[in-house]
Amino acid sequence: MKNSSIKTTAIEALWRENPSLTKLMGICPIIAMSSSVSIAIGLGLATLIVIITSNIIASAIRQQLNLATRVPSLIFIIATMVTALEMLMQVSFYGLFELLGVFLPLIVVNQIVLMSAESSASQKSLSNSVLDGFLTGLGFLLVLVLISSIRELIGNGSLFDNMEVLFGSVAKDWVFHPFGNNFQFRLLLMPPGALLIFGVVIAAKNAFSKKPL
Amino acid sequence: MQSRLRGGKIFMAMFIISAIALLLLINISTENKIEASYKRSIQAPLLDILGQAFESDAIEINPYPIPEKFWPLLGFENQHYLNIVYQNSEAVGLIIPATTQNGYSGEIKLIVAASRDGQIVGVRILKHSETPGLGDKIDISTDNWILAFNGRSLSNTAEKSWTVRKDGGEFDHISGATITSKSVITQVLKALKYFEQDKVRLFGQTTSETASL
Repeated sequence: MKNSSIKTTAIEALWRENPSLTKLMGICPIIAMSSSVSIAIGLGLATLIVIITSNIIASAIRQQLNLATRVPSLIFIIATMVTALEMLMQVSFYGLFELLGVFLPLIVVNQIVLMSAESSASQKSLSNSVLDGFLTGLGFLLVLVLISSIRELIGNGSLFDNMEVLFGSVAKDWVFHPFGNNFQFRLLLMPPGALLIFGVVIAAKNAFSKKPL
Repeated sequence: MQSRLRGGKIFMAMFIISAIALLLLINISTENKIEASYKRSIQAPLLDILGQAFESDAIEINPYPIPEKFWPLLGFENQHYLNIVYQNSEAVGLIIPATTQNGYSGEIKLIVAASRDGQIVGVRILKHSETPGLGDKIDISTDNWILAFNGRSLSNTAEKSWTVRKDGGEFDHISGATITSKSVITQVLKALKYFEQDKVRLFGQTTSETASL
């Protein structure tokens, strides 16, 4: 693929056609896991890893799949990857594993993952599948980080709290409180706050791209 | 078509078997490490409060079942374990778990760490669902209120003083959360009472140190 077309694909996947912002895909984890940046990055990276690995496998075995076996096989691949990731995460990121809770196994039913695997299995070469998986996962991660940083900043008055679950004890003092220690706007930390911020982000995107949903 | 489908079946079977083999392999190789991380995450809050009272390096914590007749006193309906703290293989204190249903909204789980002579080393809330901004100040992450228990014991605080100041006790209440404060204070008192009744069994014959009290 040429450089210019990679760039177009990247802009397309991360911004213009970002499945979370245009098709509202995978918004359940976005609503539930975006109250702090650390959890959001954790879930986003986990999803990214699952998308890339399952895309590689889906693309590798795509000749063997027919119409009847394709979707069950893809779900099976994704479930395998998520289970493997779940076990590996417990070894060295136990704190993150506990924070993500049920949303880690629920990556299996994230539409974005299946959508990307489906397109890899149907026509893409290995390298294109990896690229597509990376961009799709990154798009999801960026939406999560964007919404969670707004929520954490205004809701909890802090940024990068609890980063040690991701980066170990070096990250203990990464947290900073730009509005002083006692600033809090609790509404944004609760589920309605997530919906409000998500709506504002979509509205802003539509205003920017001048193309309504 | 018939032969293609059959080929698909054999491929699917091989594929599923290899995926199961992969998961089994990961499971076997991570099992012990996951167990270790789980243990560490359980002990983290214990070590947190113990670190302030005992030289933390030589500490060892051993679980010990709580006899059934004391379950109502500690608020339990099933088997729980207290932890005895050893330093240089000598028992120096213990950590008593307790739970109360009398919180403002639901159950409050806490641990009380006490030294061998019955003095409180620290109290921590493990789990609660009190009102954010008011009752959640019992948690050390939002307020220092819980530190008021440090150094208290049945001998230096009379039983009628184990309540909030406005009821004639010796403890401040969290403003806006008197019910929460009271229920925590009462449950800590009950945990100390349990220790008083069970200490001979836990620590053997009274030592000269406790006899002199």
